[in-house]
Amino acid sequence: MWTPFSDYDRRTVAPWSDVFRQLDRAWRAQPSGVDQSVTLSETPEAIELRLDVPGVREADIRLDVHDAQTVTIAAKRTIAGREGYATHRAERQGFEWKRSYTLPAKVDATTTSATLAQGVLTVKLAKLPESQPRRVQINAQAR
Amino acid sequence: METKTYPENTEQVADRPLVKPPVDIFENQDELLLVVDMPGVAPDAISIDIDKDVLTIVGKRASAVGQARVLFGDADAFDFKRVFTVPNTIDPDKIKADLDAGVLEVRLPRHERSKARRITINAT
Repeated sequence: MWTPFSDYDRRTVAPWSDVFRQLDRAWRAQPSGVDQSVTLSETPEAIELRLDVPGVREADIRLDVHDAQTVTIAAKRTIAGREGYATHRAERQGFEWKRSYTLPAKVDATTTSATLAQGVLTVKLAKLPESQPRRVQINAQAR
Repeated sequence: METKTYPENTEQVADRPLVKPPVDIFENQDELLLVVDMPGVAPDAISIDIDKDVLTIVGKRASAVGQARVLFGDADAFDFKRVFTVPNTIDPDKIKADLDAGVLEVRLPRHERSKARRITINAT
């Protein structure tokens, strides 16, 4: 394995090589796929969150709503090689992804629903009545 | 995943971006196997075309939100697209594809005649 220090004198570097190896390993072990595509959208009644999670099963997704205004999503996928196949390309990466979102309105955690279809997780969070816009009736005063 | 790929010196006519999905490619004696991440694409919105030795995989992803206001993220429609040159040992009539949980698997079996085989030696 090449490190920027490989070219230096072996005696100077030898005590450090183990450190470099560990740093390198830590670097490679960084959770990848941190940029899972997330879309948050809003209607007057609800907030919808969509997350791309191709190849992820229900069991590998965790969804929590705290204090009616924070939602935390954790999703995990592992990519295994194929038994009996030679690998030519391995662009797909596993990930351990976790994010919390503070929502722009209070939501009802009890009616929150989530569906997983075609590798997309859709979370529907219904806004609490007090967070929904209310039209105020204007009373015309009779002259 | 979000690498937008346009052929060089060209411009898009429609405002529909192309996205290069990540692909794994495996091979054994019987077939070539392509695994493509295509979240949010319906099975009937995927097209796999083979023209001589050029394999084109396109997945059309519809816009995720209707009338809702997007707070953040990108909800616009776009196309997943990858183009590969495949060896001529592939039998184009036997290509099969499955879509499961947003992951597309394309199996390209080899021609019977191009499969490896061991020759038995006749001892006399």
